[in-house]
Amino acid sequence: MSEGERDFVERSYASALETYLEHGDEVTLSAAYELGRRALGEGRGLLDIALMHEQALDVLLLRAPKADQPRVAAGAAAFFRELLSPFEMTLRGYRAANEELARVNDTLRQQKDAVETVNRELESFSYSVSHDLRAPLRTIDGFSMALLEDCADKLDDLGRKYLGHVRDSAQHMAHLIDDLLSLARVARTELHRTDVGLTALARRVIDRLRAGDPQRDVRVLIQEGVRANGDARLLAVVLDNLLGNAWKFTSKRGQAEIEFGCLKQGNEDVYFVRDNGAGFDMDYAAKMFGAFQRLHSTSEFEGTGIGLATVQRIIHRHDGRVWAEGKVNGGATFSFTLEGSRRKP
Amino acid sequence: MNCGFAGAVRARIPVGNASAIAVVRRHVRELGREAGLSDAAVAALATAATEIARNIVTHAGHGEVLLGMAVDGLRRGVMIVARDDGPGIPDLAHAMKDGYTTTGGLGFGLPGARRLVDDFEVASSSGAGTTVRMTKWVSAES
Repeated sequence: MSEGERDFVERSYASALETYLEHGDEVTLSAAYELGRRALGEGRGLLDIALMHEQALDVLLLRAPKADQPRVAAGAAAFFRELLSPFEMTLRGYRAANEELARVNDTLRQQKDAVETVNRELESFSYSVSHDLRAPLRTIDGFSMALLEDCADKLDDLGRKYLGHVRDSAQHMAHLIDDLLSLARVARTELHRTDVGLTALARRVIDRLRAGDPQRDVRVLIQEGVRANGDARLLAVVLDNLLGNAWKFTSKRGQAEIEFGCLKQGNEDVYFVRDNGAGFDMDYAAKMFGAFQRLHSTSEFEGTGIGLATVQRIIHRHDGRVWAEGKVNGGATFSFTLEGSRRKP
Repeated sequence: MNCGFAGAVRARIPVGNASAIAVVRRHVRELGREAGLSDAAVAALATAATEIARNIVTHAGHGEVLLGMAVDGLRRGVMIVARDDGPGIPDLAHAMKDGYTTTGGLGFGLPGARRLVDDFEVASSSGAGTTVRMTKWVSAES
């Protein structure tokens, strides 16, 4: 609607009212109804059109002879009522729509509750299954080791090599199960928010990574004084995963670099872990947060594909967001926030 | 056929253009007052009749509106029947749903009219026109 059209009601109301007072018939009264419809289209509020009516009436009353004023007032009231009729109709419409909305909301809430119940059940199912899988796995690994140690003389090189594969696989599966259990645990445990020093947490993770891989030369930059309000134990898991990933995916870099810090974006603190490692294809940026999603083969970079799913779940439990940016062979940056921005003032 | 009116059809108004809408409104007001509807009820019925008559002009081109009294036991009221031989409404359920219109509000047209009266019926099929019958009863809430 153009500016000129927007003022249509404003411009024509006074003369339409005057015409009605002159003729007093249904045709000129219909103009009020049509103007009411137009006013709705122009997005005018009731107080706005009441004021418009008042001003038009003031002028007409001033002009009218004293004896004619009651007739003018009564006619104007009828005209104004007619102007309001479309508003009454649309108000009933909104009321009905509102009731419908409340009903739909109710249904959605019930469905959400049902989904959450099913999720909880799945969660506890996967927890118990994972738990039960551990025991036979320990037996497989344990007896393979026993074979290698106690019956080594009865095995030739090929047999020992095969048994080595059995143990590797059993241990890989044990890692998988541990990761699954920790993923399930994130959903099950309650959130305890405190003031957490992320700088110190990140240092501890890097120290551990260096200790486990002493021959690697990685330049690590950790911003001083980064703090967050969150669950200390869960945030340690997040940094463990993100820094661990950065460590892992920079293993083929001559000069590996890893950075941890925090940026202010608007009202939000955005924490990030950046590396110059293998990176990834941005087409898969959202997919990689799903459980068991891996963008690299196990032979290239080992892993279970559960780490980022765990990270995402922890961040979501903090009402935060997590996202990844990267480029194939151009490094990766993982960023997260810890409180929904809606909570910020 | 008197379409279920109590007594004679009191007015039969051909609706072919916007000026006929005013005629419909005038008859609705006269009959409403005669039946003893409150001022607010008359205004609501006139608004509903305006929307239905507008529908005829906009969608069918032409049709007619019949007005008369309605009696149901001890209840008295005003009944309006609007019919046209236009293209009809292929999806009635959809037409009865509110949408945001170019008017900028919810609840115009058929759904708007329905909320302003006590009884509302609409029959339509593709190619066979549309008939709307609505009644406002005396002493029912406006």
